[in-house]
Amino acid sequence: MDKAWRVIILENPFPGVCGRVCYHPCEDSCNRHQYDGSVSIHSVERAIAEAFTDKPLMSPAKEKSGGNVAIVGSGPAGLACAYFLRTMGHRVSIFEARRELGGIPNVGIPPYRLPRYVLNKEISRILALGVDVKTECRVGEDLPFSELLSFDAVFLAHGAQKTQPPDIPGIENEGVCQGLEFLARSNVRKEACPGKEVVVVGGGNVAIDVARTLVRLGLSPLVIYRRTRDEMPAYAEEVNAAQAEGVRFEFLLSPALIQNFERGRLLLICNKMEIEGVDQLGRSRIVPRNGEKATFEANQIIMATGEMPDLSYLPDGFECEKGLLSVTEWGQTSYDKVFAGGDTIDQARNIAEAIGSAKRAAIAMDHFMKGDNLQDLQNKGLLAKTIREHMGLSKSTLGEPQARVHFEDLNLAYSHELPPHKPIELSIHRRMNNFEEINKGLDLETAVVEAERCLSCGNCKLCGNCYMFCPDGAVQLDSSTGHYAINYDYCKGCGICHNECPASAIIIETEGEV
Amino acid sequence: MRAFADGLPKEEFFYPGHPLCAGCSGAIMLRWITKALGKDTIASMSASCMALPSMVYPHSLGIPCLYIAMAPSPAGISGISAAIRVLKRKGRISPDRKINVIAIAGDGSAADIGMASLSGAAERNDDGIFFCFDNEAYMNTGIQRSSSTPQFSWTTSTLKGKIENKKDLPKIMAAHDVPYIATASIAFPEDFFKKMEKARDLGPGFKYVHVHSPCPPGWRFPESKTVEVARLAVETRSWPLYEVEHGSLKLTYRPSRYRPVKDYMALQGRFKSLTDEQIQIVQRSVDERWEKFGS
Amino acid sequence: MGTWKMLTGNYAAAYGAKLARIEVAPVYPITPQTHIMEKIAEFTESGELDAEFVPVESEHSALAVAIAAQATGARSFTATSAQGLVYMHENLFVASGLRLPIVMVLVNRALGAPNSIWPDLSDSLDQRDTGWIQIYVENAQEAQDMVVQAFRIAEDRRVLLPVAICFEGIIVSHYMEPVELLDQKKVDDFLPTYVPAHVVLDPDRPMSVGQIVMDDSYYTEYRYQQQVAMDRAKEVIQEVDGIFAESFGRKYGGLYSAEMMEGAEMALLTLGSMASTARAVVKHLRADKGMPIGLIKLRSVRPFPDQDLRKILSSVKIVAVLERDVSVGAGGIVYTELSRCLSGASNPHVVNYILGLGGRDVTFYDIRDIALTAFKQRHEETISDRIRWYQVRGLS
Repeated sequence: MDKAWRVIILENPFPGVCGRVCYHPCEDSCNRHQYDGSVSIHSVERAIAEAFTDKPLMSPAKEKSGGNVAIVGSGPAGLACAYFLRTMGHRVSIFEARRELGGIPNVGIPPYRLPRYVLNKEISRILALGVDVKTECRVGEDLPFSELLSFDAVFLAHGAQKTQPPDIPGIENEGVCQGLEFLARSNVRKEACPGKEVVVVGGGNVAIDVARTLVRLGLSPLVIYRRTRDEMPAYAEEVNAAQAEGVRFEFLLSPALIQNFERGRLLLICNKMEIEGVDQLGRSRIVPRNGEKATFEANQIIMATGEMPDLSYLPDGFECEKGLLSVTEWGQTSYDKVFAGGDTIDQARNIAEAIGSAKRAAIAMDHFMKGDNLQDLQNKGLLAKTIREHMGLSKSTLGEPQARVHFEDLNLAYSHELPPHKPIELSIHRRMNNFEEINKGLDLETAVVEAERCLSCGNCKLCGNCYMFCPDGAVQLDSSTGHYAINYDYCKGCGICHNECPASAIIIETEGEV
Repeated sequence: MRAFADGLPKEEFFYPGHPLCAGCSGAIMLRWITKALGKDTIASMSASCMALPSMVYPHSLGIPCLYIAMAPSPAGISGISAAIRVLKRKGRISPDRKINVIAIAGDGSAADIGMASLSGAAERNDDGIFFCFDNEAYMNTGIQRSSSTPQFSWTTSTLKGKIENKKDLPKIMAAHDVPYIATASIAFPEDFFKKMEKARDLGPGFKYVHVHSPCPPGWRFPESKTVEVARLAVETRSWPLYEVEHGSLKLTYRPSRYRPVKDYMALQGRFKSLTDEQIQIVQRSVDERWEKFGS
Repeated sequence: MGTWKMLTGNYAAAYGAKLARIEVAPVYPITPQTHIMEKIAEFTESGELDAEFVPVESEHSALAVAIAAQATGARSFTATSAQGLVYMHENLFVASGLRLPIVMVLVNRALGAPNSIWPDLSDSLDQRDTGWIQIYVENAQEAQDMVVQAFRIAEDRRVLLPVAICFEGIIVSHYMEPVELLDQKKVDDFLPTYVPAHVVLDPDRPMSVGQIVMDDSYYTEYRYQQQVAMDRAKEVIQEVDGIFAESFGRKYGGLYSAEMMEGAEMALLTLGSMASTARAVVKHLRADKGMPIGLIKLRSVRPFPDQDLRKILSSVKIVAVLERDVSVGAGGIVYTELSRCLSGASNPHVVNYILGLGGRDVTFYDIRDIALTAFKQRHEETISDRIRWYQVRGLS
């Protein structure tokens, strides 16, 4: 268990948060998906995080040779970068515009998805490594950007929290607010929402979080989205949950005009839309349908149609595109000592990608501060993708990582069907009027059983088949490494080990001429 | 999670460097037998492929072995165990020393030329474990049919396919009313080890273990598929795994899904000329026999 | 004065085995050997003999079990005849090739077809190429004595070859005679506990017994060593004959017994019970007719006493070999062996009398008749019809 904890925490300081809010793309790629259901990696991660919630993080490496790094933003990207750089032995200063740390998980994600104490615990654990934090310090306002350049390296991770109000007449009316703003008020300051009838405009996670928050405040919100349900950017699980909780949806509606109807009441007039072919991005093209309109009455209209980073503080010379900061594969901007990640750059907006970008940047920054040529390293394939690799902690006994093992490569004769363990969730009626966490997670014992469903694709899990089935006894346990090794003096190349390996972890190759 | 292999003794008594074919199931079997029974074992060998690693210098089998002729490995059990008994009485072997006496014979020896010797030793309840290494033909001499060759199988002496059915040797041995008989497969190690340990720990008497042993050159399949073919034999119920202890029969493995025999046959070149009708005949006989085991 | 018992040849042999303290006895019944098996069963059942009696399902297995038991370190014994012997033929080579000192009693019986249970030496003589020592005895007393001697000969480190003690079915096996039983204590002194010399199936010293020997390996050398052992057996057989005589007071002569050969111009050479009859004929002809005739009772066919016979027969003009066997297409087997041995210069004529096959009675008068006929020919230059089938019915 301890080893599992260390494997996770080396690469991700937020297992508890991720184990709740990450939408787990890893599970979609999981080969077991094609057998009897993916391994619930998400729930397992959470269970391990909960088991080690009080364990402090590893103390940093050598202090003296480290550099001085400035990090803007204390969301997952910023904090993760701080963590990685600390463990590499650098000194880190975080500049956070708000009063509280945590970024979107703090401000945007409601407590029924992520209890505050979980987030706060993981944040304080990172800070305990010795991170200098300045809150209510907005770069560009409270702190000139040029001061950041006095650091050895800078990581911009302030995210995308500037809402782009769409160009709709009447949007300045009282009673219209932005989604993130609403969530901040609700999640952080616990302010109730005025009005009984609320319309939420948008199809992303913010819109859903807003809607489900409204439900818990006793309201019955309507979500309108300009495209179809399948095209909603929000996670499907979230949309389903929202629907189950009583959120109403209407699709193919685009707001055209907001009118002040009577005191405290607004009229939202929308164009009905329809699909006509595809656009250049391959998405369906939607066009207004014959001028047909739909009208909704509401006390409050919450616009959750998209957020962008506020890059106004940056001086000239920084390449941007589509309103996002341009960076190389390893997160370096066009200004060499400035790196960026998270929602600030052009990548999918979720916690996994945020932490991933922070890691790539931290590794690159470590090299940069040592004076290495990053492009050169990248060309030679020496720019590590994981902390383990970068810190030289990889055990090389198993050789270079092999090609991806697909489901068809596995030998399933040694597995039996066992559907994934599902965590208990609060029933719908128990969720109303409170912000209690819905997903109760798996207990550790169940999580272990679930983890054992992992087919270990491409990685030996010491099942012993190769040892048992080798007719020549040429596969033996090497006591110095603890792994099975092949004695090539006696291996006849029959390939039984390769055929019977459940994890497809053994490769057989033809040497020389055939 | 503890793997089955972790609980086995690490010491090998079957050493690499032997001349058996790549992918030979007999090699797997000999490794497992010696692991289960340990160093205090004496083996009586019949002519078969297994004589190669035990009877040609340098030897791969690290226990004492005796080769007499093709038929009489069961007589070897009789003689060795009789000698041990009398030598113990006379104090030339320590009376509390447990020595396993085993015989290893191919199907040709056990079911054909050595049938009398096998039946005799079983009838006398001579003390030892007889392993029939069943690769379903006289493989050591180049794939000629034995009474243990399955119906329709090609061999060099049944070029159009064997007409007769496979002799049910385990059933014949069960009719001898010996303390223990079992069928085993090299694709089911836990089952095999359990049976060997049972045979080893039962009191003195004749025990018979019939090991289904796919042969890559003889059955015509690539040598990496040995274990897979063995597994399919069991999963298609072509080779039922069971044991009979003092007359009472028990299936030791029930496949959760009954796969059709053609899945098993499809991997083997020796069945490639079978017609659909012939496959159906085989399927029917497999089904009928399975029914007799009861559910 | 020892204990005397009226015993058949079979029972006497069984007593011999018991006195030799055999430890494993796998036996399969066949007429005329069966009583040996029954007696051993009795001995083990009553506890008089501490041995494992294994009633095997065939003779092939009988010898296989003996080989396995001997290889494990126990003194092993079996007995058979004719068809049974031939059924275990394969294993005869194995026993001698592995140099296991097994002792087997062969109760000589005719080989089918035609089927017969009556005495004939073809069965054991046919097996003379198997590497076994073969000693022929003429009566029950000699049977008991030789079974005991056989173990000592076989287990001698200079020999380590299996030994067959042969006697005719019915005539020796079933007829009763007074037999002096050897004293057990004296036998124990004469024959110590068996200790394996070269191979043993012992988990503390794992070895493979029964090798496949590659073409470029030591097959020739194994065979050569067997030949050397056979040669050395000649002296060992003589030695043991002498030591036995000292302990027990009876001397048989070892490889052969030359009797009444002083001044002989003719010798009758025979084996088994016919030696008893021939002895009487020789005595009579010497006494009554003053014929210079003597008797060679051949005991050991393997090893064949080449040098001794050459020496002792050098002064004789004619040797008549009387034997109860034939190798069809060649002649009597002992005759062929003797001819081989005596081939060359100034040596006696050797004539062959094939008689008594299938248990046909060979009488005093038959042998006298043969002796007189052959004696008349002793001065002839050449004798053409040397192989003579005695009194074939229907021929002139």
